Amino acid sequence: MSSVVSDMHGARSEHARVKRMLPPVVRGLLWALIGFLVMNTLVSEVFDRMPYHPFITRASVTLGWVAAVGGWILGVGAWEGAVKPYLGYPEEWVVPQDWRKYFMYSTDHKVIGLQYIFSSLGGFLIAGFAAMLMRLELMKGQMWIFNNPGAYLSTVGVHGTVMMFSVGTVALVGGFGNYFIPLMIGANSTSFPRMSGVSQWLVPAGIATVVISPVLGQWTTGWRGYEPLAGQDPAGILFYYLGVFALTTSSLLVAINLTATILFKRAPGLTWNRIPMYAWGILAVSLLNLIWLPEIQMTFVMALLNAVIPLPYFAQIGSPLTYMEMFWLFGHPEVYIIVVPAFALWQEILPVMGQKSLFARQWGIIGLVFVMILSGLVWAHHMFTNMRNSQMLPFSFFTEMISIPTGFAYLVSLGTMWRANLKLNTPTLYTLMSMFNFLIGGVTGVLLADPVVNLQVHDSFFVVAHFHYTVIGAMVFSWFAAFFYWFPKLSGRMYNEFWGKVGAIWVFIAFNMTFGQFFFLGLHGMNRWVPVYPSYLEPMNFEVSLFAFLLGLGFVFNFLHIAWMWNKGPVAKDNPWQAKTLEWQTASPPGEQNFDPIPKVISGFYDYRDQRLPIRNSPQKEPTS
Amino acid sequence: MSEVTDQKASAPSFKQASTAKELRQNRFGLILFVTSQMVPYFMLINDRFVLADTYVSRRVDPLLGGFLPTLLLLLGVLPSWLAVRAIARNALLQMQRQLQLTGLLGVLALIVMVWPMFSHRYDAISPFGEIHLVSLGLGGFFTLAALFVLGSVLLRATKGVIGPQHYFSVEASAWVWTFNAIAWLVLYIAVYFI
Amino acid sequence: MSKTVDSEGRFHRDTDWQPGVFFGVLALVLLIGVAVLFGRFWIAGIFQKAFDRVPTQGTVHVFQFDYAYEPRHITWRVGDRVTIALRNMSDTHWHEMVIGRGYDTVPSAFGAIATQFKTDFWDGVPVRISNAHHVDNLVLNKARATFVGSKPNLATGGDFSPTLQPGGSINLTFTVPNKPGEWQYGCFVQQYMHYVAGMNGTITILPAK
Repeated sequence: MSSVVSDMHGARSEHARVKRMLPPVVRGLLWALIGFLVMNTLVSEVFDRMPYHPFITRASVTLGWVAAVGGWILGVGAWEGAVKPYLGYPEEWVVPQDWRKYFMYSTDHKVIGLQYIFSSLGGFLIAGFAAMLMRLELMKGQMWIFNNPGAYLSTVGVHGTVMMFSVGTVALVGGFGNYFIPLMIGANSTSFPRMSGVSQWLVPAGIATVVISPVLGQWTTGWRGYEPLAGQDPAGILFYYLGVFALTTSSLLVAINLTATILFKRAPGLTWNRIPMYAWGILAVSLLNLIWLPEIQMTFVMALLNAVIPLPYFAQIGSPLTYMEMFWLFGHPEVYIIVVPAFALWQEILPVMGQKSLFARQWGIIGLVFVMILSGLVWAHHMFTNMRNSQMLPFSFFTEMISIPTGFAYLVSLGTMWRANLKLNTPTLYTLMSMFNFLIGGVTGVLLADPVVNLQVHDSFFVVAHFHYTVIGAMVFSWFAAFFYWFPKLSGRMYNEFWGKVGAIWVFIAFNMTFGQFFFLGLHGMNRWVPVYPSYLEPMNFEVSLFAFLLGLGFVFNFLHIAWMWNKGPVAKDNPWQAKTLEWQTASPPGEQNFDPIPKVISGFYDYRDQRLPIRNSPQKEPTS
Repeated sequence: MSEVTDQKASAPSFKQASTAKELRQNRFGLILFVTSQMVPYFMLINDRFVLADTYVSRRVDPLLGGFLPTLLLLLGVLPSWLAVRAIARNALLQMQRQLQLTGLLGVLALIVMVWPMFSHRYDAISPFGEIHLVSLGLGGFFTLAALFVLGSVLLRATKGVIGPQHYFSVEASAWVWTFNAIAWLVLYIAVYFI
Repeated sequence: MSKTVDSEGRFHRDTDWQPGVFFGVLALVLLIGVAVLFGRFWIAGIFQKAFDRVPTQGTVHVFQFDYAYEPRHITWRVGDRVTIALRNMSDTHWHEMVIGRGYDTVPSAFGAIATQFKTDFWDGVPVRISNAHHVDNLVLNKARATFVGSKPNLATGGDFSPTLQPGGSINLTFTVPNKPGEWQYGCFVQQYMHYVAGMNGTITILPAK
């Protein structure tokens, strides 16, 4: 750019090109700060002056936050990249083609996908650190790391919220979904790249908001924000609502973008019968997101108004159960928002690694769709302790029913592996581990769906173990499977098979030793949500904590391995696994254009009976409609 | 209609004439979003029965906070779609007039719907009325959003990026407006008549 | 933020922004975030201890938050006439201010918990109480109180403690008694949890000149 300028304008531009632009992230932070200060001051000093005029009030911090997020989004590049072009000004946002592109607003789905992956990775590490603090505290039966129970509970809340809304909901959808869905359906971009660029930058904002929430005051409700407990908490709970609002908005926009992409951007010949499994998973998840994220946003808006105005919900009018119904209506589908892409991933990886056709593909899709439908009918099993016996039956029934479509996902995977010559490398290993872990999570889920068991182990570590087996066990292990499976695609390099397997086994053993023992801790009487517990549980908790630290180190080891090999690994072939899905039919890593020209799909992607490619590269560019 | 043509090849394609498929895609995305925003309304209307049964606060004015904005918003639907028709015929000025009319109706609606909320005292005396105010507030928020969309489209119209080949933003504002008007109508019926 | 012009006469930013600025600011922001998250009371305490050695005269505003005081350190000199203007800034919580030293404790699963101070600073101190608004109750114990304006609801039991409702206020005017040394103040409401959660501060009383 600058060379062009000096050619054109000679001496005059010598003066013009001395200053460089501020890094967009820095500018975003600056604009956020300005936005917050201006709005906060306006509200707390002018419009809504409180007695003794404190500078930060609940109303001012809420509106100030809105202004800050607006400033942040515009500052990282949405101002030049989205707002001004929309209003008819020429586009003047140029993304340099080096590492800088990952730290500014971009409309390239591959950049956005990696930004999402980095963001959720950051959230994973922060929330994981919070988990380490929790385990450190629980090594002793008394308070010793935190000096009060509220600080411990705030840490639990930050851990749960960040893990759920910025890792579980985002990593496989916003992250790998944004990167791979266009590649897998033969498109060069997503449907709404500008919106996608904006939605990614809500994630760091949301994570930061939740993480610094204790600055406004402790909040003791955990990621569920139970009312009326939340209404009694100090103002920290506000940043929980607001942070979750940013994160859920981001996921909502991703859902719209990816759904439209799958429906409208498919390559010619990619009929409904040939849509890849992962795209089916993303479609199912997007539908869940589109229904349930607005629901939880409205719930949190009501709770926010409760805290800011204040309004009398769930205490004077309504009941604590009202809030729980509203929360778990979203809360249980959330589990499937997290797990459905993981199921789809198994069905992507196993046929490739076994070089064997996907078994009963349509049943796999039916499984994904029915899991999605049933997930809306099971919410009340989270509150069996508050219900009449007669009300439990339908929810118990539907919860146990959900294991049937889940079983389809297993049978499809098992059928694919049956007599396959399975290449037992790192992605396969992670997939198998994920299947094993989710089996435990699922079977204990069936137990918990049974009111007799549920009422006994309610609110104990048994439940904590169960949902960590489903979320870490299925989703995080599949996330690692995806990292290694698509590693050559993302980086153009190959990871180290030996260290990859060491990392997998390390994490697997540490995970099972930690959370497997949680089941027994729960059965022995260890409660959730308490930093102190009877002394007879101390030896077991102490030893569980050691395994938890081992697990934390295992995750860090894997990320270090990935980061190292990303830069130093041996160069990989374009399609090292001989996969037939579309994302492997182009260069690794893909160029600025994924496909040039857009290929024509001539058969399904999961048929490994012969070596024929599923695409024909058409000689000239075909019309996409 | 002068289309801006000096776009870089890598820039998103929206300044070129939209193909029929792109138009369908944009319409689909918008309707998906609008549909997902029905969920909060469903929820609030249901919550109302849980939280306040069928009680309606005496302070909620059925004329100001109810009938008048309903009428004004529904009236606004017509010019918003006439604007789409107009721009499809390349009548830019007519489109602007219609949108301005819609906007005027919207501002009036916003004023009459916010008025009862503005004059309401938030204290513990009338807790049962609050759920209605939050419902109406949601409607007010979406009216504001619809006006915002409308304003941005009017701003775009002055920059010469809207024409018979590229008028999805006008259609989008009509969709958003229609959604808001219908949602408010449903809310009005739910709050005052059921 | 400079703009440059390309061959077609359109504006472009020079996009090669400096990595140094980026990483520097990012590190700074992260550092501030961590400091604020984990050490804000600690840092505030160090600052106040370091810079607050000059005895305060006249009115000192003490603000009560969930769950902290601002300021967390006060210095007085024996014989000065001072006023504590106590303000409860919380929207939701009742807060008190007890001044004393030593602790009465109760054993619990959390370890021993301080329930109140052993010695009450206000024993025998003449204090003028004014500007009492939204005071939930006032325990006088052995303080010798006079009242200006509306008299708050008096209660008995425990040390001298004004308990303020959300948004409440009270002014305590007195001559600093001859009790030099380190004193603590704290809020023990809600089963002493406010104190445990860090709602406390220290007062240094310097001997008379």
